Amino acid sequence: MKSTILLFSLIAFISSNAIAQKDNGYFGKKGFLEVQTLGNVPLLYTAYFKDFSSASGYKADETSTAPRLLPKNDNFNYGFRVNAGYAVKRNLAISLEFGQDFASVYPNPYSRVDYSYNFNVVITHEMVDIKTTVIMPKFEFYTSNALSPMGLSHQLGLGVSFSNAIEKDYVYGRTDNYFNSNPTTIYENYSDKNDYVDPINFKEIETVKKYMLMYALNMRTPITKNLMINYGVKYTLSVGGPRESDLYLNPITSQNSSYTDELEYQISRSRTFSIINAFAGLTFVF
Amino acid sequence: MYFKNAITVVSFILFSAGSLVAQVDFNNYSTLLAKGKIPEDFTKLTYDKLKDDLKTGREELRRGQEKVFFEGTNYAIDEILHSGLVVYGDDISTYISEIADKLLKNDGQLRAKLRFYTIKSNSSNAFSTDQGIVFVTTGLIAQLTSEAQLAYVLAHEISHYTEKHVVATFDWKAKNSRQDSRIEKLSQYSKDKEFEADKIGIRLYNEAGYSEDEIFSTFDVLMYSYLPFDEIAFPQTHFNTNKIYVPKSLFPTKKYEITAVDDYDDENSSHPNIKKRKEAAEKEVGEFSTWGKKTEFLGATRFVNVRNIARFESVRSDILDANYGDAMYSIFILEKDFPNSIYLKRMKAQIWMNLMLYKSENISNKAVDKTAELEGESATLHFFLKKLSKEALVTMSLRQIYDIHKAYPKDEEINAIFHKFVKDLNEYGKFKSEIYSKKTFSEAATDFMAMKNDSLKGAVKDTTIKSNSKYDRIKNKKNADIAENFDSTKFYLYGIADIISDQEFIDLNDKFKKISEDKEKEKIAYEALSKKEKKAFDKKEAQNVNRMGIKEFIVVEPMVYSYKNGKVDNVKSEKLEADFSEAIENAANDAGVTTYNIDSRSLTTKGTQGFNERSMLTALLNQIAQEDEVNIFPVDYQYLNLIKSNYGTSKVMFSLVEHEYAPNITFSGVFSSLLIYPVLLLYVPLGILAGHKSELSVLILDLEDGSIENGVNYGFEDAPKRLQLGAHMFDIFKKLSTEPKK
Repeated sequence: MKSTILLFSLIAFISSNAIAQKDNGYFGKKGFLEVQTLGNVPLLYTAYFKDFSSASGYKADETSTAPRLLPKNDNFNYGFRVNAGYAVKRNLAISLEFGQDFASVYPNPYSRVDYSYNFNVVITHEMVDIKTTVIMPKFEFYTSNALSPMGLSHQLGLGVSFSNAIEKDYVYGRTDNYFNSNPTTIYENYSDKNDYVDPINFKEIETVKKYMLMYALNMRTPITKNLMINYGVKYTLSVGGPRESDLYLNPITSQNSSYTDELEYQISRSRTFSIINAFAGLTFVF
Repeated sequence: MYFKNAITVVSFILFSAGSLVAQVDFNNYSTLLAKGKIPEDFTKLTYDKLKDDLKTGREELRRGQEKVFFEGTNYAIDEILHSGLVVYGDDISTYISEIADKLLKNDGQLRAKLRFYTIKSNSSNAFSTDQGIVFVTTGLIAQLTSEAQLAYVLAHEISHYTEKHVVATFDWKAKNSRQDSRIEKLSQYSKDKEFEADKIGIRLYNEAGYSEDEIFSTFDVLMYSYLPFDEIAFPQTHFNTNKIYVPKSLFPTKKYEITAVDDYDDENSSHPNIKKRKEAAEKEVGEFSTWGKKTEFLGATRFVNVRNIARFESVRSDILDANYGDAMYSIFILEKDFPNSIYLKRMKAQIWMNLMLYKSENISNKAVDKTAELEGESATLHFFLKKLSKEALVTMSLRQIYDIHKAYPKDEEINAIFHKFVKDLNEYGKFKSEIYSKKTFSEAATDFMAMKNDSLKGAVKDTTIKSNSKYDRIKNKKNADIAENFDSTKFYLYGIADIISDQEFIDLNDKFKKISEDKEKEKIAYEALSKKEKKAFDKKEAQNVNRMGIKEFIVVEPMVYSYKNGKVDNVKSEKLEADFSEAIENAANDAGVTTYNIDSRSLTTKGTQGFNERSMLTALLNQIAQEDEVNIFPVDYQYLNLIKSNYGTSKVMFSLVEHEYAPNITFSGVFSSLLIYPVLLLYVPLGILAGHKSELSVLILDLEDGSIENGVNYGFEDAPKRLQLGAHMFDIFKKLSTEPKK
């Protein structure tokens, strides 16, 4: 048996260099379309936020009939991807990824002038949901004798993301006389239609555009001749978007659009810190 | 590389040495095959055997040990049963079983538990297993001189079984795994068991009525079983005919003594030395007041018949193991009784052809004994084969194969050997017919003597030569036909005068010479290409890699070795083998390729014919593996031809998957990654996801000539499941079935 295995190894060694790379595909199928859900726990973003502002996020208390905020962190972000691709060679496939991510950002509490123009009102705002659209062409690299799109691939992608805050009936709290001995907090929400008091003007928030460089480890394990499950980890480096330095030029000290600007920066920062995502999904091969 | 089973775990090897049945036609012998209904030992899956054993349990072992023991024994025994070497229901196995009937005539219950099978191997062994199987090798049978000796061997093996020595030894090893000087103690323990098996075996043997003398002669058989099955002087004139003369200088001038002694050091051996065993046996024999006188109950003719089968098999086994010197010596002995055996002629032709190939590749030391190992009468032949120069061996091979071919011109196998030989002669032997003399050795020697005499008398030697130019004279110095060039040490130049003037040989040689020359020209033309041209040529060639236009395959026993912590996980491997088989079948269907499966899982339906076909094809693979440096001729040519005509294709596929899941995550790796925190987040997933290492290898052999037609290998980082393997096999079948581009 030993010699038989050696024979196989010998033949294998001689022959392995001579496999025509163009003979590829999973059971001859080279096209693939896949859907994935992905998620991450935004530990880095939350840690960063807390470190620099010493503040927690807030979430509306769903159990209360009156608007109320409870301290809460953003524990999980999720998204989906649709990916269409083609296996060019045994060890190479190209694909185009489209998808959306959903996350929340922490608007900073801030103080602002009250009607008497004193800085004695502090606003605490519920976490703001954001939606990011991603478009990314990718290259998928496999080991030399693999059969793309099956198996483990190392994916490299260069894409762009567009993030927007989602407008909805957020709850925020106004703590009047904050610097006095007897502060009082009043909770309100956007459906009160008090545009003057509402801290964020969603119409003013611009789309945050960032460039993405992605590396992913993607395993596709077949479950039928047309279907595979895919799973793995994506690592993303997001660059561009509003810069923190821009923010300081226009500090949040008065009733103007700075709070809105700050939110754009928070969106940008949230995307920057969304580095690692785990994903799983289905791949249809045709 | 790791291997599936350790045979030593399960077998108790005794002898480290080898109904009325229709008379075998040894002149037209064909290798031993299994006969009759296939026993359950061969059809039941190992996993099922293991499950059944675990259900029954073993009171001698603790629960945790039971699994280790049953897994080890079942997988090791099944590897032997499916090795392609074992036969059942054949003349030898039947003979052994009948002797066992005689030994156990008073214990029907025990007899019913035992099964007896023959292993076609030249290692002289018999061993029993915990499952009740007794194996006897043809190598041992070939050495015996009576039925009684075989009866004693069997009685000894049956005693190992009844005394449960296999499980006892396993238990001893488990309990003494941390003992100091464990090897010595294990050796003593094992020797005690051997003495016990001898003692109980003698009782069984005595009860059957065999002669006491044969017990002691059995020990002689054991002592000398490393030698060929007979000791007959090999004459130095053996190869001399009126066509060729082999000088005596090529043979040894001394005798090589037999060195075996019976009181060798057995300190670390599993068996007591022969002297001690004889002494213990003498004492035991004395315990019995009456002894039978029989050496044969089943008849001397039957014994000789069975032994001759074993001896014919020993030739085949030696060829499979590339022991060509031994095989040739066995033929020399057998031809004394069977001078007209065409089987022996075929084997002889194969041996000479393979010797020529080995010599051409400078690996002939593998095929004949080393000088230090020369012993007994066969040393003469080994010495001679060793001493032959490359040119002499090429000539001797041609002489022998040509003569066999001329004696049996209509034999298909000999014709095939002759054709392949002439082809190899040009490809590997660099054969040049022009260097040979058109005279025989005696003619050339006579001319030389005459010339010498003329010279002494002062006569002019050769006026014709003298009148030639300087350049003609230089050329003439190499002309073996000129009397003055005669050199008796180059005897081979005068050994094929008739062959090089035979038109059949000339035509065949010219044909293969041209093919060889064309290949050489192609090589030269390729080397003359520019880098760019070479690249373009290689690219075109790459498109044709693995494209063979084959639509039908015989698929033999896909093998899977799945490793865990560096050792084969037998249970997982067996399950994966079932997946792999299914994957191959489905992939072939999808690719429009027809496959005929020959594997151990289908033996329930395919029966003995399927078993024999599988054994022969496995033997072919083993022969190729053994002789991987040369392009061999299949020893079972006849049977392989039968398989070819049964299935309508000569292309056979063997496949192997090796797999290990070993995530590449180390403590030092994690520690290093922690220092650069984000690296850890990449290091761990990469280690886990890329942890599967699978390698799929496929070999395509051609039954026509045993050549390797193709080899394919895929390494992939995934588990070897049905669909993953199926996708790769589909790809392989697609390519193999595609016609190459012109």
